[in-house]
Amino acid sequence: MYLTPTGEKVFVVDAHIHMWDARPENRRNRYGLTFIESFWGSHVGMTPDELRWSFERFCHYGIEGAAKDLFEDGYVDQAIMLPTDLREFYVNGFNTIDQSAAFKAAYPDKVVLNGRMDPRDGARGLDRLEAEHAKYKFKAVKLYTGEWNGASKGYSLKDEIMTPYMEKLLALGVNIIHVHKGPTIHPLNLDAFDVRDVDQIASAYPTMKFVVDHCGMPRIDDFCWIAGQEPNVYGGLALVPSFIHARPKYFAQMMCDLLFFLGPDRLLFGSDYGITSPKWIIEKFMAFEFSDEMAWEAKTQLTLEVKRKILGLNAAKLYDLEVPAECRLIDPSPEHDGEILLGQADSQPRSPIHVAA
Amino acid sequence: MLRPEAVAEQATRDTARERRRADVMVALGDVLDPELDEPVTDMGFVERIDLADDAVEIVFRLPTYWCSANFAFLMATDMKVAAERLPWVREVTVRLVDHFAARKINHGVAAGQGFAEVFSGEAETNLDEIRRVFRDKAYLGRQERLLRLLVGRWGLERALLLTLADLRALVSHDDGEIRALALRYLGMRLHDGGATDVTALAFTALNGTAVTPLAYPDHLRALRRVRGAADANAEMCRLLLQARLTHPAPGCGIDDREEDTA
Repeated sequence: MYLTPTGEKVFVVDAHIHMWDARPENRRNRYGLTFIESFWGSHVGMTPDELRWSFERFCHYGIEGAAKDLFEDGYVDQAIMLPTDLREFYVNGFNTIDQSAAFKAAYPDKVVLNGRMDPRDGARGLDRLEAEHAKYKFKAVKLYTGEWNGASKGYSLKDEIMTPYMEKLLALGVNIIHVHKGPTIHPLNLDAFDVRDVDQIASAYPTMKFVVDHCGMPRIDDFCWIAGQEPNVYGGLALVPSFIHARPKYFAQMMCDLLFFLGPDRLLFGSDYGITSPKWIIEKFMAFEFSDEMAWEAKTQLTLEVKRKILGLNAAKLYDLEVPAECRLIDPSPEHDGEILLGQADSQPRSPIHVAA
Repeated sequence: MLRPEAVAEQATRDTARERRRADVMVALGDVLDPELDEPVTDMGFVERIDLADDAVEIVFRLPTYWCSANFAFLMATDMKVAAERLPWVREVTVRLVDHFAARKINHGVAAGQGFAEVFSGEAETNLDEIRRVFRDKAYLGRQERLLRLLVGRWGLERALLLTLADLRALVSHDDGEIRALALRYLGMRLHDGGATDVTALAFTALNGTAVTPLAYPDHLRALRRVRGAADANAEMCRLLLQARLTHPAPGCGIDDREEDTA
């Protein structure tokens, strides 16, 4: 829960957190080190100097560490966990559903545990999905299309192997699919991280909701194109807000485009914890405003209502989480939220690309 | 104690070497990261240039160990070609360091193999296709920067009426900012932008059709999509490279061990 200086309460759902173990004894090979090293680069590059962790803590912060950073210091009411196995690199896996389940067990009312699946695992993978769902009753699964699996270095959502898995999810009542579409990291084949495969599957399964984690970054443009057409595609912001300290100009640019193409109702805040922590991101985000030109381009200012939606209400609606009455929107109709009336910021209507340098 | 003549000879050799090194750096300035549309030299990817007479070794490092192999391969290939164009160069070796596919890429580029050959069984994507996708994005991105500037100065109508002859004139404009943006866009426009007679309109859509005020709102949406994505990505790469060089994780990063995908 975040309290504004004027006393408004903001319900916070961190829709992208991890509980990983990259300690030396869990690294299967050198990749286990280089993988966490890449994450560490993001942590160092994006986190304010005085808030950086030691590399040792970064490799393993544990349940109590996460609880302090998220719930005690980080304003988080609900944290959504996205497991990834990465057993090719880590002996017991990097951020598996079992590791995540321990956090859920410790904080059952504050943690949303998601499942995972890999359609390359065939019939055995389907059995595993069913067994894990029976055990954990998750509403969503995480897909990591760039993950190595034996000889395979990635797969596409267009692949036929997806069909039995999607049908299984429908049968289980799992209707939220998180797809990792992030920075240009290791898949050899553009297809493994190309965001365009979301288009087809989102059309084929209109009752499912697809959360594209990292908004396809750096190919945010491709993501915007797809999300603009497919109403069941959401933007998982993780990594985008992390720019707010080190590169505020680019953060503003990305937010502006995402709001222009998706509007304020389909964007979900995520800290990508432990790469970056929600405390400082949320503080900076609550203080952040678009310039008049940016607001004009985004078709909305970052009003309190818009921030409330992004920080928690959108995810609460998607996941059907309970929101305290005092945190709900006064007027749930999105029509006038944060809209800037022409002439209010500027008496001259102008071309959206006219932006003062 | 060296003889004074020997000291002088050494100094001459050092100067010649520095000049050659600068030659190579300038040549590498023409190599763009295909995704970012930024010179590899500006991005700080080139770590070292070693010279032995007319043989050149270029050592480069990317922001992370896991940067995509396809972009790394394209850049390595382009660096080799760019350095080989220098008249005094006989042999060029390009060495990517500290990357998961370093060995494969270095061997493949040295042997003049194609990407699909080097990563047979792992990659199906044709790199020419990737190049084309990113060239399209670069085209729109460069156009957007120039167009934004001109619309700000002259208004939309006049900016859209710019012809290819006018665009060429802008390349020697008094304003340095206009000059740089015009030159970058012109290069793309002549290769990828449709009609090239001097009276043709300078600002064209990807399919080569002119952007009229009527077609402008739709075109603007296409521009908006690519605008900023590459810029933000370039910022992320700079950020990660800086972090990698100044705060390496203990036990990895700053050494020349080359790993390969088993």
